[in-house]
Amino acid sequence: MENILDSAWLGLTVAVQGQNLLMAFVGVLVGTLIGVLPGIGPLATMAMLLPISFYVPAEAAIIMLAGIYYGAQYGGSTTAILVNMPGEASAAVTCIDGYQMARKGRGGAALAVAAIGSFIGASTGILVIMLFAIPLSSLALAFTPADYFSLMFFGLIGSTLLARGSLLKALGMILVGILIGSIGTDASSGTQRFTWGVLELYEGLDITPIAVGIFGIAEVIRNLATHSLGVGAQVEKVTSLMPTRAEMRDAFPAMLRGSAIGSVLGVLPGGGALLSSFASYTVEKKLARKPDEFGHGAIQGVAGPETANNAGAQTSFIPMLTLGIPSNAIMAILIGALMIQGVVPGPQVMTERPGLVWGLIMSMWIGNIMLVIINLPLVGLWVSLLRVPYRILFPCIVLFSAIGVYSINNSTFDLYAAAFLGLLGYVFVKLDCEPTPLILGLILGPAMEENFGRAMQLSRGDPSTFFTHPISLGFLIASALMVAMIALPFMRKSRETVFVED
Amino acid sequence: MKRSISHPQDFWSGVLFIAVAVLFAVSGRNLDAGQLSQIGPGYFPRGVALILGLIGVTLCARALLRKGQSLGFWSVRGIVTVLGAVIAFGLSIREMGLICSGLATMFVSFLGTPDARWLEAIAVSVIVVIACTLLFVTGIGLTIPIWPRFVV
Repeated sequence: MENILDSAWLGLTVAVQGQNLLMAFVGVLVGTLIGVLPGIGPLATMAMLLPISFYVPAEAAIIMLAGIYYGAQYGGSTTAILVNMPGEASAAVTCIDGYQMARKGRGGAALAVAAIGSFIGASTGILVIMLFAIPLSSLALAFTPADYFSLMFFGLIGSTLLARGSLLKALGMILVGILIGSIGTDASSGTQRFTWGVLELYEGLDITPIAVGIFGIAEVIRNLATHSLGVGAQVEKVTSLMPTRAEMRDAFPAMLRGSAIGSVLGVLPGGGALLSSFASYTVEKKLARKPDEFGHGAIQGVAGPETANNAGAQTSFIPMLTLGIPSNAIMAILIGALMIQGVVPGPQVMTERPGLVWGLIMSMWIGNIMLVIINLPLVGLWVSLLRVPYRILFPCIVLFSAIGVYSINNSTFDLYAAAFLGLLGYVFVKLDCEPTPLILGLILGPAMEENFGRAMQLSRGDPSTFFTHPISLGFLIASALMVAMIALPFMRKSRETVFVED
Repeated sequence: MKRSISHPQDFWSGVLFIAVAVLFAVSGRNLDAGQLSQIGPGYFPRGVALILGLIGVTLCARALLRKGQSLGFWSVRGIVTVLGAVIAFGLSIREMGLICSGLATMFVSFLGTPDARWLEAIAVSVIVVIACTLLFVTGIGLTIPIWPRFVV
């Protein structure tokens, strides 16, 4: 306990340094902005800003990028409630009841409950991170290469379970990601592979052109085909922000349940904000005394998911911070940012760079307080942004993407790569292939190969090493259980219903 | 597309996976696989490509038995203009600098929608390009040229 308090104090001294405070503010401000705007998400934004994060110290960079992610969770609810469009994917369920509340003149209350819930959820999530960070990372320091390989295997299998759509396609996308990740110089032998004689590929493809292409550019092309671009959004009026006492009485238990659901689901591989909000909505609907109110402006339907998505957004940092393993595509980008800064992600970061890890954790408190202030009194400002139509927005997204991709290496090759991957990303959209597993495979692939090789070397080529190490065996059994669960008709069915609204 | 493929999305996903697997298997055919106790650079990618190919074949086979969605409408205009804008930026940035290159990128992007209004497009482009120059080059200090090479 004392250990945690000491670390927290150290983190706080880092987080309140001028530059870090400023970057936290920039992060949550940008996060709110892109959260409010539909058509651009935190993934593409973080990918675009990755190169710029190179120009500040690691602490400030990671604090800003993290702020974009959790800030977007606040902003997304504003659009969901006032326009009936998810500004952010994880706010999709908030539309259902939030918009109905707005139409009944209770939009202000819905916004307030969403912001309060977000803060409670985020606080719970940060507390969970603080409690588990040190024990988990010291546990992970004892992992053998075989254990690490099985842990990553477990993470990848888990992410397919929680991915939307066909499992076989999600598995295929992981493998495509691993293959793309193997382009460049093989870490253990130094051999060039899959470079096709292209000089720029000798160091491998950077994550920036891949993420900007697949998530940013492909998304713009998709929106151009589907959106009606001519008009800005129709925005419901905001009245008083104060919820009534009855509304708070209904909302508060939902917030507590949402905190718990989000904190647990955020840690799972493939989990995070999106899954947490869907799960919370389902639970609230089941537990409600008057379930028929759902869909007609039930405040629990706003309070639960909006709390859960923030709790999940925070706890999804745990595997990344303690094990160096991303649980979702956002964390994969953050790991990419750390690697650009020369920090090798893994359990040793906690002891080697405690200021970095705890500075980030403590900055989340500061960032969340800023977010409540940015979002509630200034809601009018964000709403006016929604009147900006997509026909003006998308050329700006394209230009920002281009500048971001180019500036990372001052390389035009990266731009052409991003264009090619944008095309590939659009093909994935057309084929209904979820791109998230690809990014996870891309980040985990090289580490898996390295740990597989080392485990095999240590066991002198005996593959049973994966089953004789207890930790490794545990992860493999857990993976097998997950696969078995997906095969059950009941699980398959509920998996389909959870993601049907995406 | 033939009518006999009842699940085009799965079928073409399978084809794509097989193509990627073959691409990596063929271009990595000369890489040394090593032995299990000392794996070479070819071992892991080859194994991954093999499994990916098998998944692709399964998807294709299954697509003939199941019913599913068609690929739907392809946004050709969107593809050409958005990719064109990014490529235009790449072709021009070194010679023309951020102002000209940025304006070109914005204009090509605007061609992506029939809803663009030209006066508005010009105004937005100018403002955004100036803002980007001030923010990224003057503010953050990215080493991107601002003006065309023949001017400075």
